[in-house]
Amino acid sequence: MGESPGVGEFEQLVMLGVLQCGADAYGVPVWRELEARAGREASLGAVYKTLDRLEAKGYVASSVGGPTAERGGRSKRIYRVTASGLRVLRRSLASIARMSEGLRELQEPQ
Amino acid sequence: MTPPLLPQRLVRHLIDARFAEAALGDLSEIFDDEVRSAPRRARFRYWRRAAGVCWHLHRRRPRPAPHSSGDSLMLTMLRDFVRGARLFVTQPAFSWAAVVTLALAIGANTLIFNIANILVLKPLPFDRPDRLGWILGTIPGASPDRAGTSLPEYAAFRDEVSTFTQLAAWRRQPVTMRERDQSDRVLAQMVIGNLQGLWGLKAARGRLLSAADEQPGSPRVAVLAHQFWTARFGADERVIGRSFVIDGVPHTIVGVVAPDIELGNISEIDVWLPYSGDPALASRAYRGWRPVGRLREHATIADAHVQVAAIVERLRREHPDTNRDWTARVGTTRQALGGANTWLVLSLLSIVVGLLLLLACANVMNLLIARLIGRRQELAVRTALGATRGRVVRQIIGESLMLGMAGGLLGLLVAWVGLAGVHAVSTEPFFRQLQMDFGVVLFAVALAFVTPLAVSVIPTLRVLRDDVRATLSEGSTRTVGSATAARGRSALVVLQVSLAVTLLIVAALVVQSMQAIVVADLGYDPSPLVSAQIDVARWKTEDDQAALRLRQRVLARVRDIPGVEAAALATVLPALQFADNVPFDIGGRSTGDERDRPTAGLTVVSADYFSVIGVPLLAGRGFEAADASSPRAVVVVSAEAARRFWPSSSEALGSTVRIADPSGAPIEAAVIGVARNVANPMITEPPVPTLYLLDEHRPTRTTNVILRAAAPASLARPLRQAIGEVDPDLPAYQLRTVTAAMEDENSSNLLLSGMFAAFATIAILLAMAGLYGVMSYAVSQRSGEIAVRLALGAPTRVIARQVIGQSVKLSIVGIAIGAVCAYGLARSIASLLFGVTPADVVTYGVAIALTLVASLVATWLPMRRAATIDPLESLRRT
Repeated sequence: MGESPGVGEFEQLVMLGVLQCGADAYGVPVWRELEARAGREASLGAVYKTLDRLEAKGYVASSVGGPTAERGGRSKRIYRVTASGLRVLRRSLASIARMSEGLRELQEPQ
Repeated sequence: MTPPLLPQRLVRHLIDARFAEAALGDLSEIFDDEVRSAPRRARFRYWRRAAGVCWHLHRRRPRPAPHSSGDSLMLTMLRDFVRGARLFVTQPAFSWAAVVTLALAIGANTLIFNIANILVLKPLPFDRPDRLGWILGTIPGASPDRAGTSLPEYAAFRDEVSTFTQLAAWRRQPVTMRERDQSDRVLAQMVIGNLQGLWGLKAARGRLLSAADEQPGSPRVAVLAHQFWTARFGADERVIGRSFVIDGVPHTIVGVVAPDIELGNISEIDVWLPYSGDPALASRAYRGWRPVGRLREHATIADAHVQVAAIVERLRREHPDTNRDWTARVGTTRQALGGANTWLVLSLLSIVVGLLLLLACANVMNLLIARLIGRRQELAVRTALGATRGRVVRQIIGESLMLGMAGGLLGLLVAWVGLAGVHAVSTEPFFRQLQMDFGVVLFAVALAFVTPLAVSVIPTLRVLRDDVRATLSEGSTRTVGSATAARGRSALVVLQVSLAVTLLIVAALVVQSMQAIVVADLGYDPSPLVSAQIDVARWKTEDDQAALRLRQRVLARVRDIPGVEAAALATVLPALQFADNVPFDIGGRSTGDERDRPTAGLTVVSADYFSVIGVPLLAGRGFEAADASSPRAVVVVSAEAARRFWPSSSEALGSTVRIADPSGAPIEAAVIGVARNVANPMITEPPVPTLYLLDEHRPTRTTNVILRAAAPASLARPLRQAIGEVDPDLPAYQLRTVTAAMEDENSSNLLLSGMFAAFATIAILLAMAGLYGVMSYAVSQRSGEIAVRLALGAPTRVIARQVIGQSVKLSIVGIAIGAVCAYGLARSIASLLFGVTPADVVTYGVAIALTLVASLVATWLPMRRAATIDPLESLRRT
């Protein structure tokens, strides 16, 4: 699958965030996951923009969820990672894992 | 706590609709969390986050219309222009109304700008004109600042005013310039104190006059004006070095002045001469000189004025007989070149055309709004199909610019026609230099761009405010309209009516004043008279008796011209020229204080002057042949002089006066008659008290030959010929009928009153068109309501009365405002008014009535249309 475009680091993180949120992956929880797990103070706008780009590449898909009262009656846009998205993510993470295998420098000090 | 509203709107407007809903939900969710944890900063963070969302997603909107994707701005603008041009075909009435309105206003403004351009904006042709101080003399009874200075006074200023580094002076004089057999009467500018150097003139050929040329005994030289060199000698270089006999003395031409000085009345000069020491021009009585000085570094006009005023005061004490009434001040270059009224008239004209432009803008704006409301459906559909608001706004502006450019082009044409009219009416050199130069065209182009931008602001705001969905669902334009829109229309009506009333009243006052000046009673009838000025020059003869005999030979010869009924001589043309002011004593009465000594204008005439001119004697008798041959001088006084200086006319008769003649010994004369007054040459001033002496009793040099005939215009050639036959060195100049001379004097007044009348007419037409537009729109808006009421049986009369009543109410408000503004404006120009007061009831009444009638017509026409439509038809369309 050499043709499928790669993903950048922030894109990897956003896709991982979507996966972490499971069925309820819309803007706010994804943004919160990025902060909580990756320690990234990203802006909400940047998250949207990345999701939009990933959707254009076909790595995530979105659907409009039902409106909820606590959001001022506004609907959510819920994201899931597509099969090709998973493949690209896997490959890219695996290549990182292979490249970093056995490197003492990268081991966290205990 | 709810999230702030404005950022929500921004998000909704700016980002892709696919995201807007979800993003707003997310933002509000985070906001709710943050309100709980940090309520103070939640709003700020909401703002920041919303801005971030907009920033990241604003480009994600789909392109508005498929065909316009990737268009350059140029292309879009071009399309708007083309659309604007197409309007002329699709909506000719609207387009032409707007264009003609703009053209009239732009044309009027361009014409006035042309005048202002020359008076105010054009650089003056002098070297550092702001450092020049002009000594302006004033004598009572004549135009202020227009009296000259005598050579001894000039010398005093030159030697004693330390704030001037250099002081020069000039005088104008017609001279005879002869080479072999060919002789020309030309206008010479005689200078002293190196005027050409002081003004900073440059030579086009040869050299200019220098201080050395003024030294006694230096070779006589002259310099030609560029226009004269070109017109008379065809710009022939070989003229330089040639010798001409100027007033009997050979002069060598040494150069030509560069043409950039030829502005205003300086362009009348033909030849420049240095002052050659003629003693007649150096007497205290001769005030023909106009001094101008260059200010010392850091000195101001005011500094120079203080010194000049002190010298004027000292001269008054030293020479009471010549300097009693004469005062002088130091003026700026602008003051010296234009009178006080010039500025007033110019400001007034600027205000009037400015108001006209405002009126035109209101009209065009009104047209644009009405048309835009008619097109709301179209615009809403375009917006719904994806045209951005910016695109729609650009379209409105593009169309307005198209109208503006067409209006500007047509306006230039209007200005050009107006200018041709000005040239046709006016004989003054000032108006002749008006032309459509680059600056004037630029001004019109700028107006053509700025005006449409200004008028499209409000319609554009309207489009921005319009709710697309609401417009589409309304499905009709026939609603009564919002309260704001109605208020806006009312304000527009009031504005237009008040502008029209202001313009109408001010213009009517000015026109009446100008007309009053033109038709003012002169005290005699100029129509059967023709005159020519002759001047027995001193180079010709020093002997006053010889000069008198020469004049009498001329008088005898012109009486023989076929068709001449009578002929006379007079040093001034009555009501046209100012006489020299002389002090005199009334016999027996003590002179007392020098300041109380009476002065009067001295007019020297031939014996049958009064019968030739047609001025009747009110008491006593006129001059008779016996008076002329008697050595005892007699004097006729004007009614004004008798009224002012004697208790009654009968007491004036028989008394003697002793006239302090500045050009010779005092003259003792018995009063033999009282003549009716002639008007002051400044017609707005009271008549000048005048003393009439016979030519035989008082030496003169320059006088007017006046002929009375049934057909005076046909006598011009025979008169010139007859004078030439008596003496070829005695050319006649200013040869014209007295009526023509009068018209020349009045041409500026006629011109200005014509301008004001034209502007007032345009104003009332524009206001009517505007009112008609506003009212017909308002009525059409209500045609549904009117139809319902008609269908329900309301009489047409009642409805008409109500609608017209509303318009009349607005008109009355406008009229009240306009009348107050007009009064304020008229008060500030009171010095221009003559024969009419700033609060003239008749003028105000007529102007108000006219405006009221115009507004009634403008309401009644659309009203009648609405009332005659079949109610059913009207309702169906609603």
